[in-house]
This record gives sequence, C-alpha cells and structure tokens, in this order.
Amino acid sequence: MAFTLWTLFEASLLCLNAICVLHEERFLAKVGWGVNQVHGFGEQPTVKSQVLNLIRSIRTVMRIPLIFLNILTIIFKLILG
Amino acid sequence: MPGIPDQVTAAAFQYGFNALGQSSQAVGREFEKYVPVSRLKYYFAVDTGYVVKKLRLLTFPFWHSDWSIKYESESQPVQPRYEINAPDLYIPLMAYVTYVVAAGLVLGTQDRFTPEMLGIQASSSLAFILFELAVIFVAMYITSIKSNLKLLDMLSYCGYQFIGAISALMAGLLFKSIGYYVVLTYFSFALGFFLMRSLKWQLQSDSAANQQDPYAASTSGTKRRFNLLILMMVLQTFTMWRLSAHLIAP
Repeated sequence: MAFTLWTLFEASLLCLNAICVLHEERFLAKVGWGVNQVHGFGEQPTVKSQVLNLIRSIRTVMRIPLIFLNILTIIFKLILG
Repeated sequence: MPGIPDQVTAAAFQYGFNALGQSSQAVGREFEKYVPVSRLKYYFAVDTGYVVKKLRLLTFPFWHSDWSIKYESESQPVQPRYEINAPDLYIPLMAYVTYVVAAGLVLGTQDRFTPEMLGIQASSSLAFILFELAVIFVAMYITSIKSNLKLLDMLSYCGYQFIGAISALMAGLLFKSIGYYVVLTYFSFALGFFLMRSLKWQLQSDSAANQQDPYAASTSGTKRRFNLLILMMVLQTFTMWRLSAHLIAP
C-alpha cells in the first residue's frame, strides 16, 4: 500500500471523523473520560487531562470544517473511482 | 470605454490596484501566521564550512563536546553559519532532493525505474515527514512539554534523517543487503545520539518554567522529556528504515 500525501489525508480525515463522532454523555462519561470528571487544578496537567482537552477541542473546532472536507472527499472519490 | 469620462476610469483602476495591494498584504499576513516566511531566511544563512562541519557532526557525533547554542537575542539563536549546533533547513532540503534522486538511481540499477516513481517517492517521503511532525507536536502537547522549538526547528531535526537514508542506500548499492543494514543501524545510533544531545536542553517542562528557576530542570519533567526524546528517536529510525527498505534489491 502506497504511503502518499493523499492516503495520509484520507487517514487523518477518518481519524478526525472518529474523534468527532464520540458521544460525550453516552460513551465517554461511562468510561470515566467525561468532561466534568477531570477538573484538577494542580500545577501540571496530567497526560489524561491533556488528552481529554485535546479530544474536546478537536470536537469543537473541527465539526464544521469536517463537514466540508467530507463532502469534498466524497465528490473526489466519486469522480476518481 | 465610450460614454464614461476618463477620470472615472482612472479612478476605478486606481481603486482596483489599491484593493489588490491591500488584499495581497492581508493574505501575506495570514500566511505568515502559519508558515513564518520571514524566519525562513535565518535557516538558509549557511556557508560551505558550516555544511561540511554539520555533516561530519551528523555522521559522527560521539566526539563533539559542546552542544550549547549561542543566542543573540531572547529567542533568536545566532545564524547557523556562525554556530554549528544551530538547526538549519538547507541540509534537510538538499538531503530530501538527493534522496529522491538516489532512490531513482537505485531503482534504475534494478530495472525497476519509471519516471512516475520519482514523484511517488517524493510525495511519499513528504507524507512521512508530515506524519512525524504531527506525532511529535501532539506528543508535546499531551505531555505538556513547553519549548522554544518552533515548527521550522522540528522540521529541520526531522529532515536530518534523510542523510542516514541516503548513506544506507549507497551502502546497499555497493555492499548489497548486509552493508545496507549495517549502515542503517549505525545511523540510527548516530542520529539518536545527536538528537539526544541537541535537544536535551531545549525541551523544558512546564512546571520548571512556572515555579522554580527557569534554567533548572524539574525532576518530574525530566522523565517526560526523556520519553519524548526516545519517541523521536524511534520515529526517525522507523522512518529511515521505511524510506529505504523497499528500494533495496532482494
């Protein structure tokens, strides 16, 4: 399988879609990764809180652009086959 | 145009040129936020002596003793032509192009060469570099390691692995499979050592900056910095191997 820029773009699109699809209440809170459960005010953020922050910010920022990117990719794949 | 006095046409043209100038300036400013073009000149301020010394350093970093970088202002190191330990972008760029050409050469000796392969190699290695950079930046965010290293610095440190890939390819050409693997493992060690020494004092954990004296490394941050450096070394070894393994004759 070739590792080109296009496959990198596709893979990252799929990963971002996967992160945005995670539902906070139904899934993340059950696993203990909910937004309200990690609110430490310590000197150094733990790795877990940084990961959760990252997930949360990706969901907030990338929702709308992802819609357009997905539409673009679908059109490309339909045209190029 | 008939029916319209010349002054209006002239004024319309004037307005059009002004708007074009302003919008191109605005686009330039926005672009500057993501890719600092004015900083690029610093990374290409090299001369022949620097290139030779740096290449020698990359291939044999074990005898070098002084890894500190002199700064001329708060965050701007001295130009690479005066400071051998400073990162640059000239060597990685040249190494990238040489790698693509060397890949074509090696493929040619095996009768596997087509002109499309050059483009595939170029875009594939670019994709590898982008992927490495993304992994490193995400890892730096997750472990909350703050540093003065910007995107272009990381790009230059990731670009040095092309030197190892090229040398391994050449060794594989001359000495078949065994030479290739020997040179590849040697360069993995040399590059890892180089990264370790260069980046040890440039990565700094957040708590050290806030609480204690900013120049002292805190104990909790040291483990994370160490792990991050190990991650970088493993990534670059893996990428060097992936960049060249498929080009060697079976």
